[in-house]
Amino acid sequence: MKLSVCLISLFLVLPVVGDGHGEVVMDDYGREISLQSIPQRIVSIAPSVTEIIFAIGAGDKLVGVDSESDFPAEANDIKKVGTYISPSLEMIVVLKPDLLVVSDLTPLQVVNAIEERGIKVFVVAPERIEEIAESMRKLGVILGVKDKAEAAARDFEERAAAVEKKAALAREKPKVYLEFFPYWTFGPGSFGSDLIEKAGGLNIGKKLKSPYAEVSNEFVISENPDIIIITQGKHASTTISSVKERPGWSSINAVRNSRLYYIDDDIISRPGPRMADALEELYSILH
Amino acid sequence: MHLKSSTAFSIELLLLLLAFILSLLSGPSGPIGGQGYTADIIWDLRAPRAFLAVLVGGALALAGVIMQAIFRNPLVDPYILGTSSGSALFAAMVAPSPLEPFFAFIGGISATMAVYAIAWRERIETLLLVGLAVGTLLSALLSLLLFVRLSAFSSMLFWLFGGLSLATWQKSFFLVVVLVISVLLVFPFAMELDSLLLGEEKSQHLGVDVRKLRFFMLLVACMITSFSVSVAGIIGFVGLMVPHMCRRIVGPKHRVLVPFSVLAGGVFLLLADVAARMLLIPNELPIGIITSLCGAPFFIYLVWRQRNVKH
Repeated sequence: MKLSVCLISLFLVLPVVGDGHGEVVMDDYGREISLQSIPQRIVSIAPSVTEIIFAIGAGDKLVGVDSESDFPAEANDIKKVGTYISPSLEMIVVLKPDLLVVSDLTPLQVVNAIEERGIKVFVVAPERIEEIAESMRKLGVILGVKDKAEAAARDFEERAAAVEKKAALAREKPKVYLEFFPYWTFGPGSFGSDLIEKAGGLNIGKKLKSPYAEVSNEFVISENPDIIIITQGKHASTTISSVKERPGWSSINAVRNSRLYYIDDDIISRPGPRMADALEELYSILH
Repeated sequence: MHLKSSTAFSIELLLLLLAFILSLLSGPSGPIGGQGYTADIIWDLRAPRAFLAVLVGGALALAGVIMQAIFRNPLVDPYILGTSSGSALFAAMVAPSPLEPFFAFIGGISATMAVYAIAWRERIETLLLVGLAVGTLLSALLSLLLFVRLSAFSSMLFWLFGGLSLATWQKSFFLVVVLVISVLLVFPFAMELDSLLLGEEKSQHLGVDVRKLRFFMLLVACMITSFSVSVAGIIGFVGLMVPHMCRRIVGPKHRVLVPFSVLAGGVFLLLADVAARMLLIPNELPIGIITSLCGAPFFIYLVWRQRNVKH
């Protein structure tokens, strides 16, 4: 009886061992991570990371997530370990994870403190949209779900490429103002800006000096965007009607032609699988 | 009427012990016997954190005692005088790096000396205003740094919020050494510090080299503050409240006031840290928010009372 249990578990383990473990994967902080076996208990402390882990089919291994992780719905049933900026080390340690996956939103000091407790940390911090697929593949290797991750990554790339292709054929590029907080917009080097450009628009925020920047009435009015998009979500409360009433905004093309739209805050701000949704949605708004 | 020091110290040590035990028992995985709790949690996470709370609290309180003696005013502390902000800014500039404490010290001492140079001959109100202005300026620079170096954004957030959640035994050990050395440096000058309360001239008559004493003590206060900022970030108002309350209990003599304030600072920060980790469980609140919530109203009360005494 015992022997057969041993044999069965051996067979269960064998293909796992054969799945390229012991492989060294470089995380997005350039640190080389190698794991002896495939992690079975993962804690994710970023909503984008949680979404990626579910998308590549490893969501069932999550035993803890940060308090902002709310997608997909299953994420809500997972134990919360605090915010991504200052998670509770104690909650993390108690969950006994064999891997912690974080984004670059978590302070390096926290990452170091967790590693000092003998828990491996893998940093997922894509900086451009194309790198999201790469993040999926890397996590696929680390989490032993290479094939599903490859499929998810390819699906992501194909959808993004399809939008870009259509956008390239579009006759004109409308000027877009995308606001995620009253008078705050996406500047150069941000995902929001990349998304607009890839969907065939011109981001007026691209002229600004930082990736996330505050703008004035004057700036937006003089740039005269053809389309205004406002994010909606837990952290966004601006409405289209309030934007129309801003001083001087009635002269803006987008307001005169009633081309104001909402978009889900999470899909344009979390560098995860739903950025493909964001691209498709932006394309349909823009063209 | 002040408490007899033996009684006061006994009560204080008892409180420290109770607060320490409370701190060991509090956490998101529950008190002893609670769900998921293990001995490792206490040893690896809660114990170093509790020790660090005692040490940082004690360090900030000591810095406060010294500064209040030097400036002969209970309204000053390392936060008000800009020392903490200077330390945080300079530490953040090199973070992450093992040189953080050193840079924190450079930043703390520069900020404090700047404030001192500008305002030490002026009225105390001017000193406070200059200190607050310099502190605000340095905090603004820290925020600016966050914007400019966005890639290092998250590792710098630590300096803005501060906190004990990342406590380790190494940090505690480092601060134990700092605190013990500081107390040993300050203690021999207890009488001289007492004499400062009589006024510059009188202490000069007693044979105290006031300028030298001021400078040396300020240096020590900056050192303790910046080293504690380098391990725990900016935690305001501890150095303001604790010495003030302690003076009420054991009187103004520094031979008693110094050790009593150090211990009281420990008790206060232990309790503040328990609140920081328990109020929004499992989220960690920045401990600076808790101490400022207690300290800022206290500061306003002190200003109000000083005015009423004068008029």
